Amino acid sequence: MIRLENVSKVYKGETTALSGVSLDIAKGEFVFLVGPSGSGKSTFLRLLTKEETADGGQVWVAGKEINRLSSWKVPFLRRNIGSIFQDFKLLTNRTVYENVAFALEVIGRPGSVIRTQVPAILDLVGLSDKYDSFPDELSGGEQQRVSIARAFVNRPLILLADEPTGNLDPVTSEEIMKLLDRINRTGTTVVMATHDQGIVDTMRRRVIELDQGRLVRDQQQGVYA
Amino acid sequence: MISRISYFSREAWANIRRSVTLTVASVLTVAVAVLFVGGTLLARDAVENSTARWQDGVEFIVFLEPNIPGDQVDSLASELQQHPDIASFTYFDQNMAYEEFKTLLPDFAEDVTPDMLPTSFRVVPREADGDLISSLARQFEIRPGVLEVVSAQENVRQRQELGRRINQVLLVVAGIVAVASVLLIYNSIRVAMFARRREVEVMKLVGATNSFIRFPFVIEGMVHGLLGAIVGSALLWSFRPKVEGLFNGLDKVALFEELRVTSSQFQGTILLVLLCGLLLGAVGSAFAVGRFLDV
Repeated sequence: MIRLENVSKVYKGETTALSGVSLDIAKGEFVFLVGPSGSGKSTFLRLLTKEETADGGQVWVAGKEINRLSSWKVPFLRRNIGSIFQDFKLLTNRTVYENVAFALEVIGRPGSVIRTQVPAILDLVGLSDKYDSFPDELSGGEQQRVSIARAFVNRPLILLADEPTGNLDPVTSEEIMKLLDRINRTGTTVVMATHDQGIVDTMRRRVIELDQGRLVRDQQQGVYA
Repeated sequence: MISRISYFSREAWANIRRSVTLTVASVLTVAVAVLFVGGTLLARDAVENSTARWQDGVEFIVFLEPNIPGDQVDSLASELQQHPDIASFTYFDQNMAYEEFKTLLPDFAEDVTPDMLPTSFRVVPREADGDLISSLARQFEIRPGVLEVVSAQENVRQRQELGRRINQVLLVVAGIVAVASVLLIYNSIRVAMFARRREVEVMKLVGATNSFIRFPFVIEGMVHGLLGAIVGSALLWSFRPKVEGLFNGLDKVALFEELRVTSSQFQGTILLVLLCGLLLGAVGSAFAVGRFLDV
């Protein structure tokens, strides 16, 4: 599903974000990406959505070598990838329902699909009673659920999560992890960058550790450090 | 498809409401720009109408008597043909005269039939020299079958020259205001994109295509342009009788020499003005999205 071969990325010719990273992530895997700040975790995720382009090496996502992907095809790559973030990136002037529907609307899905998919996904994330709430009226955990619903409503093959629990308390974080685990069990590949030692140590999934842009550990059923 | 159209129109409308002052500024500038563009076109039409019989070097017209025998027409034609001071000429039969009449004075066309109009020769002399033309006119005036000879007067030439100059000035002003309106639309689209940067970020994230992201902004610019063109057209419409009255009311102006435009010319101009407004809006907004919405 995801394959990197000897990938490197240098910002402005000096800051090395990634160097010589090679790895394989199979369909349906759940992978934690750990390492100190500035170790290249975010760059790794941004390469997969082609928000950044690698300076060297090759990146395959869903069977395509994306360094050579022409720019008009990038949106179609992104439709296979859901992304969630520490700061949720919700639209504050839209309701929960509208935030999720927006993701389908802007890729041209017809109204009939929107009217069935959005309630289904809001049910899955446990927000059936919050359709008309605005993001500011929700707790952090609820906001992250909305953002997961938005990322997953189009049933992507891959879900990328950049510190999704960074702003949440431990109890809420655990609920979010249960949700991600559930999504993973539908066959979706999940890659999650995190600093949360408790979560990594509890879940015991594959752990990939980066340090100064280098891959220093790749361990099945690993722990944080 | 329907959901897309409703999405685009909702977004464009929301943006227009968000920045009312900039929208009004863009619309009014476009209105002034197209007012000058329309004014240029109408001034050109009016001058051409008032001097229509004197285009392409025609310096005098030999009007023939009604019921002139065919052989007299032929002998006049061969005389014109062989005259050393005449470069070329055209014979205007009654149908051509009627067509010209309909174009220039459509309001009176119903009261006139082709057989009421005189036939004529439209003559281009070797040189547009006043003495030569009046001597030629005198020569042909006395030929059998000639009703009268009318020559282009100095005021016709002056009018054509004045028309050209007014047109140049109007075109320059139209160009300057058009540039201003493109820049204003460019800026208001930029403001709209800034106001919607979170939406744009999310759209890119979930895989909306570039054209889908850009389209509402381009539509918005075109709506600005079209609204401006409509205001400009309304101004042209309300100015038309005043301007025509200003020129034609000064003194007694001959029927064929009034500075006026026909209804079809005016409608054609309005159509061009509306297209021009759409174009200004499209250029300004395309410029803005091209510059600020790259992946």
